[in-house]
Amino acid sequence: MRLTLKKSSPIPLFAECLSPDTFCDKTVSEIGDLKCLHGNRVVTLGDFFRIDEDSPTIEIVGDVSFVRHIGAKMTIGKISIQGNVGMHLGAEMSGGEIIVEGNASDWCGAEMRGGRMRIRGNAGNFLGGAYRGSEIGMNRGTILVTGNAGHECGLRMKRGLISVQGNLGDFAGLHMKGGTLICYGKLGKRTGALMERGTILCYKTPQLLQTFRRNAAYNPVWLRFFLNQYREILPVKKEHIEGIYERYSGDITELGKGEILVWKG
Amino acid sequence: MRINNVEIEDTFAEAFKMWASRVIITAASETWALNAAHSMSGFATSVIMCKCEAGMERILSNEETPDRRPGVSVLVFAGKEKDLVKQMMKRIGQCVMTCPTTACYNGLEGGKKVDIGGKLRFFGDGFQISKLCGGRRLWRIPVMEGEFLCEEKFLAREAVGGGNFIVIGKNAESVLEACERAHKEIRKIPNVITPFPGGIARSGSKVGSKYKFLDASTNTSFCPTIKSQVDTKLRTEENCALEIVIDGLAERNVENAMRAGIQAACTSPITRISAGNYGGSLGTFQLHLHKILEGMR
Repeated sequence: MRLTLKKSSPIPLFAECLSPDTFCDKTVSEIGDLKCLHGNRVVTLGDFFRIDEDSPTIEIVGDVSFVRHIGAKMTIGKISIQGNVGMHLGAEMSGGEIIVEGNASDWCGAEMRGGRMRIRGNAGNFLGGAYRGSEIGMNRGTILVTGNAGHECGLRMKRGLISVQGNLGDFAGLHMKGGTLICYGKLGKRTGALMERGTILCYKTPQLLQTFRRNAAYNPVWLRFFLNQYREILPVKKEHIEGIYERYSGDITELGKGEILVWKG
Repeated sequence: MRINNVEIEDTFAEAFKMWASRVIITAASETWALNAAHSMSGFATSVIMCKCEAGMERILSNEETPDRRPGVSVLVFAGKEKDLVKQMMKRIGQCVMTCPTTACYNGLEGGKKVDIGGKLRFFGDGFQISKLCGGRRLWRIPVMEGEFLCEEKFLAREAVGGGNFIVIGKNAESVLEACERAHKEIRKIPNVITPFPGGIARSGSKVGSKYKFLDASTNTSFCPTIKSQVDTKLRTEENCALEIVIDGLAERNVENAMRAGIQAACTSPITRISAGNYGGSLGTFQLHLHKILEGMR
């Protein structure tokens, strides 16, 4: 199913229906009639997109950075977006795959439960994060960002993998409870603040909080296993696998069982 | 039936249903992986006294192991699933975790999940860390050298234990040499182990004993030094018999190993190849030598 943007808008379009689960077994006209909220007005998907049935997956063409909740709660299938995308992309998704050729806005993969998301541009704030009032953010699944990601990446993350090849904003891994967050670029301030468990893997030395304490420099065997498992989707180099990492544990103002591993080459 | 002028007796090996698991041990070098594997498969020759049978299956190259380090695969067999779990726990805990630089992973693809790393983790005294990776949960247990990595769940499956053949000859030297050749060939067969020292057993056993407290005793009918005192199965010119016991993940694996081993052992002055059985009354599997060796005479 190919959806080509007909018109843009400064007002957000809430299109939670834009998901393989909803499109399943529907005809082109039925998809076009699916209801969305444009601001506070009910519109149809067909008002904003020309829909063609010439792709086995959902392919969205155009700058849809005003469209929110694309692929939210999806469980199966694949969405490919040829452009930028708006907030809450793949929020609470539990399966399937989303590929974004442009940038993604905030809350991308928020409270994700499974599946895979690849963003070839930059991602906004709260990538894989927990919504306000929620205890747990991302809880399984994989998010791969080729560019940079904003603040509070992996907020309250419990399981899964987030990999950011560019830089990360402030408070990466805030309140993190588990899972693995990898950053190949620079990290912002207060990385791992209030972290309870989980791993933040850094390939550039971050400015660490005083509440993190150095433990040892070693080559973690689990990381060899881990990086080899994800060799096909992560930019893994031999020196990353065989290198020495400094292990810092914290945040001691919380449980203190989180770790920041800093690659030393 | 004769192979290279060696008589193949029309008999069968009696094998048993067992539970098995494959453990992949990796380490910083092959030497350390082997140290752990040897230690883990030590004192595991027979379930009768050792409670499990274990052996090194083969050495793995870096590309074959989950963490791309040198590795060794070890097969462990026990009569019951719970015995297997108990033995794996003890042996991984005492022989692999204690060995520098090692890590330990499940090596089977199908079977029933049994909890190993999930129990060993408590050795970490609360500092253990779990990592879920590609659907596999690993436990990182802090140790004095760094971290011991152990997979939480191992797979266990029904298998076949006690496949065997007995090599009989005129003197001990030639029989031992034939068995060494057989063992070398068997080691090339996947999914099997030969749990006895060097793959060869000299003290084959029979069920029962004249002593009430003993479940098994020496296989008197194959002992050359008491030939005249017992109902012997050895002929006048036969002065030595050695047994090769084979455990495998499946019946066909054991058969393949028996075939390769017997073929390698059949050279003069070996007189006969026989097999150990209990009249077919105890084991689930009857591995008939003639059937296994069909087309090889």
